[in-house]
Amino acid sequence: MDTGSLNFVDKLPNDVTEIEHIWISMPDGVRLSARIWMPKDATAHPVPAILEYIPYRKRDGTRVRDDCRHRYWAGHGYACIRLDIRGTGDSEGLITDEYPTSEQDDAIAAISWIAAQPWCSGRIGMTGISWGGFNALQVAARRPPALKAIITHCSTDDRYADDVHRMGGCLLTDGFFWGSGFYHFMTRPPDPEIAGETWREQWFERLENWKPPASHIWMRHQRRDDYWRHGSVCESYGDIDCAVYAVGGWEDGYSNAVPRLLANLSCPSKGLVGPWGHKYPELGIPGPSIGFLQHALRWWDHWLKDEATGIMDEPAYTVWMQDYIEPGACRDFVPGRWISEATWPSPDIQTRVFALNADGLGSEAGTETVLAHCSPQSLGVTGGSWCPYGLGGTSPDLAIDQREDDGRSLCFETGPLTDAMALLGAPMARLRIAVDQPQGNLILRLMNVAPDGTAKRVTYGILNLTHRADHEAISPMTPGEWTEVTIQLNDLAHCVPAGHRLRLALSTAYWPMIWPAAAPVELSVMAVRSVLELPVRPAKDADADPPIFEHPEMAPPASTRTILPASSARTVERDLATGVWTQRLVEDGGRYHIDDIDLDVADGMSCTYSICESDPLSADAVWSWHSARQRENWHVEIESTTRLRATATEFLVDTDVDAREDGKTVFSRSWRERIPRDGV
Amino acid sequence: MRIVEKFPREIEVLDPVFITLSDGIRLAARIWLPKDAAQNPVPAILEYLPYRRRDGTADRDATTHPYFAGHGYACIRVDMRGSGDSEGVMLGEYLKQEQDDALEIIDWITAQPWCAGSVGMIGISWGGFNGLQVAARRPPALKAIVSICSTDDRYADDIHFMGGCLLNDHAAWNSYMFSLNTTPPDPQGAGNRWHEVWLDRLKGSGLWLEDWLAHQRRDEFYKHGSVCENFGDIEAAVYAVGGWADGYSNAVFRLLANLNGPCKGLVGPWAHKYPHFAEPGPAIGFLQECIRWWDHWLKGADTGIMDEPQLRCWMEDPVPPRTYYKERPGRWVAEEAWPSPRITARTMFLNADGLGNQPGAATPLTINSPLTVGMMAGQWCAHGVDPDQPGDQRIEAGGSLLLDSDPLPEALETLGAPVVSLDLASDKPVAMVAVCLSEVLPDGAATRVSYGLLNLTHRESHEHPEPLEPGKSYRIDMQLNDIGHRFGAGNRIRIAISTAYWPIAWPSPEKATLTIVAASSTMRLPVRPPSDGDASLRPFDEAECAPPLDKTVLAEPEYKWTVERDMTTGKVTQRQWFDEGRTTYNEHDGWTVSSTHGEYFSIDPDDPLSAKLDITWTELFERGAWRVSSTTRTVLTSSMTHFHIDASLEARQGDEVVHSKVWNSDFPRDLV
Repeated sequence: MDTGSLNFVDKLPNDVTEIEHIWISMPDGVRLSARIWMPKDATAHPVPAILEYIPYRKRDGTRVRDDCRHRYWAGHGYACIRLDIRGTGDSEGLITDEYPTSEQDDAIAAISWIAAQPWCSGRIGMTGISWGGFNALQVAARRPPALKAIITHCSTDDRYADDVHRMGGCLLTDGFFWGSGFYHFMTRPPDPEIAGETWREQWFERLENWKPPASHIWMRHQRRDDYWRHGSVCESYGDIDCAVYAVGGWEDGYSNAVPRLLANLSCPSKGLVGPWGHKYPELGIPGPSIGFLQHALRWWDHWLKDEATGIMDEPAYTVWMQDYIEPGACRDFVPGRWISEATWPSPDIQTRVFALNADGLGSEAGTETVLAHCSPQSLGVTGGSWCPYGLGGTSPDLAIDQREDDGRSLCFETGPLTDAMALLGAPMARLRIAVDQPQGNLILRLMNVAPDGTAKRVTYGILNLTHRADHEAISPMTPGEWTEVTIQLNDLAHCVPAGHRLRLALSTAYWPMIWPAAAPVELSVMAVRSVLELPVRPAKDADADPPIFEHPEMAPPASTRTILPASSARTVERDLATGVWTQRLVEDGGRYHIDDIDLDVADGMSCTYSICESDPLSADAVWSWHSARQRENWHVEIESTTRLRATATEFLVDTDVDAREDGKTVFSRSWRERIPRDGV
Repeated sequence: MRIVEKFPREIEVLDPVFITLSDGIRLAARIWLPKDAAQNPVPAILEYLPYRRRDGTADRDATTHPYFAGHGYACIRVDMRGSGDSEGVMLGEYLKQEQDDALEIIDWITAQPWCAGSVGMIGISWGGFNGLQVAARRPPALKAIVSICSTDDRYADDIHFMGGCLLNDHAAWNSYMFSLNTTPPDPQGAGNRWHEVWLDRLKGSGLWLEDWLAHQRRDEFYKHGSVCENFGDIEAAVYAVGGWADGYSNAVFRLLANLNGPCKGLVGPWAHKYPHFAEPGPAIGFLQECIRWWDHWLKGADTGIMDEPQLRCWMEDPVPPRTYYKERPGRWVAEEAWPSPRITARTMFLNADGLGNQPGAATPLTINSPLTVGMMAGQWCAHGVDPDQPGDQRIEAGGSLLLDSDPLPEALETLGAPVVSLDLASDKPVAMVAVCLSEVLPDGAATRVSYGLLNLTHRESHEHPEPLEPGKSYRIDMQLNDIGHRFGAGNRIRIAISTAYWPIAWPSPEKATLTIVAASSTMRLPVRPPSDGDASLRPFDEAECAPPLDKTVLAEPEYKWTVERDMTTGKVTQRQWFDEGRTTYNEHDGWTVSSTHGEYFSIDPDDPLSAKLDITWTELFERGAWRVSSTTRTVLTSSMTHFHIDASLEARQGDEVVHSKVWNSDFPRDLV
């Protein structure tokens, strides 16, 4: 199998002009800063435009990848606009949150501006990964007339169900990983070379007004209320009428949105899920990566240039059907094959039901038995990250051999499979359970167990039991009362070979992925009355003729020089004396010089998650971030730390930030927030 | 602990006292005895160790020997040849020289005017071993011994091997002795010759690990000093004492079953410590118990001790898994004799669906464990004061073949050694199996009750191992460590079988898959019926001892014991770090001692050849501006074919390096 390799293409069909910075004025007078690539002759021969609109700083944040992607498409006849969101990068104004209405309003104004430019043919696409994938959907739902198509990567249609903040109504610590980083990154100043003399004023305006969003906004909305409905296009899929290409990766946190969009959108849509983490497919890790920029051109050419590329004649849903590979925290490749379904949902998927029997997963129900379980709080140590962001996918973020957690979970296992079983879709568990606490979390993991005993997690699901009926109208559990709960596990495409076993593991803790319930939970499961439904995909003739992607190619990246190399680390330590488990992560981008703009850039973070295995209230998480920007006559540094702890009734969130100019502290602030737990 | 200041007889302390051996070597001793012993001679009690009477065991000695002396005994604490303030060089454990020296010491003692003629020996661990070994040489004056946490079989139940598997404690223990052999005599104890004595020691004692790794099977090297080779050699009365948390408790049962002479056995909940201060508790009035023993055997007094049941054990109750216990709940039980005809074997079948009372279908089950199974095993030999006991076994469960019983309808009390019989085949010629017996509590937590290891090439014999024929079926019997445990009603019994047990044991050279045939594989549990006599056992007295040593703690001891997984490399490392603090022994003119040691055991779960042991010790002795220090390091690794040792020693006086040496050596793996 060719895993693909980077191919930087210097020669493109069109010569490209680049505008390092241009102001786009918003109706309220605030000016957003854009960077634009377009064919040199675009004014003579106007071209469609592609907008990427994110807060991650076009000038010194995403510069390397922007050059690779946008210059490539520009060279193929598009004007590519990389726009800094209001209050971020070199744009004026203030950022207030993720995905506020004002963000979409600004996008619509920007789209109008773009469409009116002499170099623009009037048709516009949007694309982006993560935030830029989210707002492509959100802006599409506002139907700006010029917006004809989007490509949304690693994004969600449901900000409560499948975003970094919550999973099954449980609090994801990744929401704080991201939230503390979001807070930190938005405290960085504009570049004086763009902002001029006002840079410091703008910086202080950001520092003074920007509050930690996790403690000040998100934790104030622990249920699925109107706050989360806003920006969740699932609230009205019909609002979107432009074409949508949804792309995700099985190791990413956002892959469920792809099949859900396909199932619910009424507009033209396509879906693609590869083996990747939270990365663009041309850089996707684990591999194989694919020539996605070429593939995207077929999409853009179809929708923005009316060219017959044939892309819409192809199956709606293409995924990497993953084969077994021994699990490991770092994986650069997952074996498998590309398969397609003409439509999604597919009528060809068959549901296979397993009963949770006392002696394992059986196709027939066994005798009725009650099984009890109470997880140690450190269970989850093998779980990896909810969303592996780290260092281009090379960080040790993935789930490892599950056996250490399986031994501490309530497990149900099949015998060795007589035939291979290909799974495509979302497994569903329907369980009859009781717990001894009014609130608790239930975690289900599905493993492919190799003949040598190695257990690879292939999907999982999480439910805050107070959310069993509804994520907004929550209700406490009645201790001791039998209750039916349904848990949908994450979508997967995984083939379990003959001779392997399936194992379903139930637990009541999953640290550090989710914040623990306030008290240890004793779970009782009524075996036999509980089932697991698996989506089995029979082989089909079309599989013999799989989709084929080209090798990745892209334009050359911005020229940079490494000063300190990037590094990542993840260790888990258990102290045998205290029973405290500490997970330590480092994600450090190192320090590098961007030659174009003569700037030294450094950003990085470390965090620790610790818990005593007998005490959920001992959970303690600390995220520390640092950034620096330096050139002659300009040196700014920012350090910030966010800490999350909880009592039985409250979350405690501490945030401290310290900003320095030329080595001297110019701004410090601390927040100490106490937020009541709301059924979490 | 009750501190006793007043004793029936007033005592005095003599230190140093030198005993000159026939080859001219002088051994240093400390002697506690009644002030009037020369007028009213008393029996003598010898404790004979390499652990430095002047500082190493001074704490403990101060609490025990004055106590015995105050009750009318002369207590002699001798530094072995090559240790403490004694001259000569120590070349190994339990060498014949050591026993020869002991016989001369006993002769010397009996010739002293304060000695009434009868002698006892007492000791824990090394001092327990040599009590047995010297008894087997039958010096006429030696009438009785108290042997604590020791063994009769240096291959089966000592720190080197367990079931023919190489214990990591073997190399850890070497590291300790390696370091101890670099420590100097106290110039105020050994006199002007101290430097010469020290250099002899530094240059002469060698790296014992090399001698040990040259013997991987049960050959003459380990038979020497194993009194099980001829139990009949021992005629002195033997009181064998052990603890369930210790590595040596099996020997108590074997000694009672095999000795011809008078003997008693006592097993408490303790780790590797004297029972009057051991943890897990409860501690007992062990010194009073010893006095009853000594008075009977050395003074002919009727203390009634020999009328009591021969074996007394702490029957442990179910507990949640913990790496440290202050106390283990339970109760004292006794058997008139051991083996006891009252104990019956209950057979449980290792069925595919768990442990059953009836055999199920003969299904093949396979297991190939990640090499990190064992990280929650605690120490082979726990000291009880660190987190060195097995923690929650669930963390090991996923990598083990699990066989759980149904919840027990009623409590089940066991005493003795469980025996597991397995029908198994291996896909590799050299493989090991670990079998853990645990009690699973209703919440799922699993507490280890016993375990056993077997190097499968030793299935027939520890002396003549044979490689396995891959794929061939073998019937093997494994005796797990003796237990005295009550399984609670509603709890489950679990057998967990694994193919690795790191860092207790060195892994086999290749990862093996074992196929175990369910149903024909069994476990026989030694079930103990209730006994009315338990309620009327003579209670042990409250723990008491003589006043503690006069010392000044300048820095408190600290330790940290962790297991860390590096997600990037996959490697898992158990780190044990000990800082023994800094202590001044006030009796010895400001003699100040400090020591640290770090023990690191790392492994990649998939690669047996990644196993690495890395242990460093530092020692520092000071008096005013005078400083002597040493650092020793031992690294053990292996290839498919060899063990590899990298070791180094550096000793300094002040800043000057007095002696340094490096060892690099390979030893072929002998089916280990």
